[in-house]
Amino acid sequence: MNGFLPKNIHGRSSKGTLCCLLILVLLAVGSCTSGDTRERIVVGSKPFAESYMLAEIFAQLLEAEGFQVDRRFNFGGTLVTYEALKRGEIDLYPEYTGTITQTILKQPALTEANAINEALVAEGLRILPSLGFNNSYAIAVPAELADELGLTKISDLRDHSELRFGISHEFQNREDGWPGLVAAYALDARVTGIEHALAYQAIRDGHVDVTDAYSTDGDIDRYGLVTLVDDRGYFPEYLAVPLIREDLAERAKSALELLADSLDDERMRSLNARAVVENEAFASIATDFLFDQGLMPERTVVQRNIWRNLVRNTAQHLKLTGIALLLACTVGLAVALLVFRSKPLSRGVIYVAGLLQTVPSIALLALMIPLFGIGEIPAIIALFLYSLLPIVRNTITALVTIDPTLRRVAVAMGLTPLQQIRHVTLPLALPNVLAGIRTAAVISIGTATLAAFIGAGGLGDPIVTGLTLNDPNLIMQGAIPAAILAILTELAFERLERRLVPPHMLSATV
Amino acid sequence: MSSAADNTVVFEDVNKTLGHRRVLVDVRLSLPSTQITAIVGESGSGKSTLLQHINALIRPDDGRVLVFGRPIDYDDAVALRRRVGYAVQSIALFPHLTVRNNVSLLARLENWPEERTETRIERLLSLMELDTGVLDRYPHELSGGQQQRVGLCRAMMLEPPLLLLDESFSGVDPITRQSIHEEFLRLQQEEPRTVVLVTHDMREAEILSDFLVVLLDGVVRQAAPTAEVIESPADEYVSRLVGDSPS
Repeated sequence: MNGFLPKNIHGRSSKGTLCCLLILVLLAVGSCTSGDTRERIVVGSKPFAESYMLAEIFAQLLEAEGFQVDRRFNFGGTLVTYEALKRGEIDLYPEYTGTITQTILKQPALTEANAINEALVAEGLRILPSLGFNNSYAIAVPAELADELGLTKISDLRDHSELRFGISHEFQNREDGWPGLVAAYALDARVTGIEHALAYQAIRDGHVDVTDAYSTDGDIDRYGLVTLVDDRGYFPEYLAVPLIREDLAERAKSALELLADSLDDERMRSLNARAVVENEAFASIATDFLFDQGLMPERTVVQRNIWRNLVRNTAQHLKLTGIALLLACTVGLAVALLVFRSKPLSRGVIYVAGLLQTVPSIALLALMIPLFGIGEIPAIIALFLYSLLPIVRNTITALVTIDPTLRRVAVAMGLTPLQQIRHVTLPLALPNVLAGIRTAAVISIGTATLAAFIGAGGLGDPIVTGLTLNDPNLIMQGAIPAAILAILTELAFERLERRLVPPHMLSATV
Repeated sequence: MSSAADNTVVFEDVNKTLGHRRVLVDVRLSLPSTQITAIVGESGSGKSTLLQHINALIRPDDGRVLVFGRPIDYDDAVALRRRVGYAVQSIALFPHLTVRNNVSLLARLENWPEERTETRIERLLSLMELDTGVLDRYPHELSGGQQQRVGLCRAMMLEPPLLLLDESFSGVDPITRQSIHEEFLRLQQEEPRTVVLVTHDMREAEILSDFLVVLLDGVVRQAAPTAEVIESPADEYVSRLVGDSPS
């Protein structure tokens, strides 16, 4: 029996808590930002392929101009990204004129760039000249069929009522979608509602002849389709523009203006196709484009290889969860120690922490935005709130179940209140407390993958991007390391428990 | 070391009410220095409450308690408690600490040099007839008798001039108990100190104590040298209590 015990156990329990803290601190030390003194610009992006592409082009162009660029891609959607821009957490992102007038400003009558800028100036924002392409709704048909029937514009469809239309549910139901189109062109067509993602396959397999599409969709090339000209000007314009903060450096503005009219629909489509169809990295496509355009002297771009991303994302992930966990431990332990003597207070605290836990994680993250903006800080706060419950609950349970005689003896022996906590209360509670921290750590690592939605980065980054691009490889690049991280954390805590807790106290908790 | 006169414990008109019960009533006592005092009485008579006044675990409602020749300074109870050893019936060894760490905890907090701690532990162990092999074990691996001995060692680690024992010898078989009594008396000879012992066992009180306090419902019925109490009980109750003793 004796042989199983470590030889040098003198003072191990007091070192235990320290050791535990040290590991948490190590977890908390994530990626360090370099001491770069170049002017910093933060580029944002909405979560879909074309937006990443444009944002990456902006980013590399600005890097070539000598700026230090931070990429904050993967904001949850238009309004989150726009909000981030307004708050100055990002300096620019790619947007579409139609989205600005209809979704953001809610002034669909605006069309001219000048008029849009007049409306934006109050927010300290403006748009730069259009990149040249119009990513609007479009009507697509197979190229062969178009040749055969001589289809070039939408009004040509009127003469072919035999064509079968597979129209996406969303387009069918939008006011500026199918009903308006039928009215504008006086179409008489047989229509089947279909999921957008399936429409292209349906065309390829010959089940439908015509579908709605986005004009710069990379899949248009992939499936050998052509888009028909909107000869009656029915679709609103969705011109791609850099949406920037007015206070962006002049040098950056002039650089971005060089992109004006550099991308027509077809070119954008081919860039998208390289990313979506051929799974080429955004970074290298962007570099090629800038080089071809003469905007980059040489192809110097760092090929972001998978390992570098992995290390960066993992470090960021550990940083988010580590800091959150450290905070939750500090606050959770302190609160538990303060309230555990009072039953009603303990219940209240556990109740509040439990309430926080019931908020769906994505909603909790979204709730953080109006309070703390986007990025690391709101993510850390959300993760912190999530980690509180297991730590507080386990600690309170552990503390109330300590034999009161032991606490009395500790007092009677002449231990100061702090010494009582350090040498008696905490070590006795340690098995339960560690179990709580372990649960919190594993939950945090899982939940932190969602932090990418509010621009905090981490292993959620490739997952969110992968979901958008429907790229399982990319999803795996986030999901697998996150799962491994969770398992490693579990194992690390198991080891930690074995080190810190005497074996006979351990068995009761496992 | 304090002078002998300093190590008395004096209660001056101490009253204590817990809830609605008067646990101590006008207690006036002067316990002799460097002797063993036994406080006896039935359960609920206030013995433990009386004892816990001495190391400031409980504060009197009125009256005062003098320890080491001075009224207790309740703002500095920690300093007092470091000079007052305390062992309880349930032993209450810390289950997460090895025997060595249980016994030496206070010495570490007092920053004793390692050698001094080691020497002290060895001495206590040999006085209490414990094998050094127990040092690296955890309390749950020891027998009841061993645990009690370790509890006494822990209470005496800092060589306290005053030692409080709350039923510290109960809960083990009679033979073990007898040998612990013997060891304890030997220790008292080697290191004389003021000991206040609470027990419900009159026989134990007779064997160990020089001075006897009989408590009933919080009232001191008699306080005198043990032999004197046995020879001339102050009243009917004391007589019955002393008479119960089979000796």
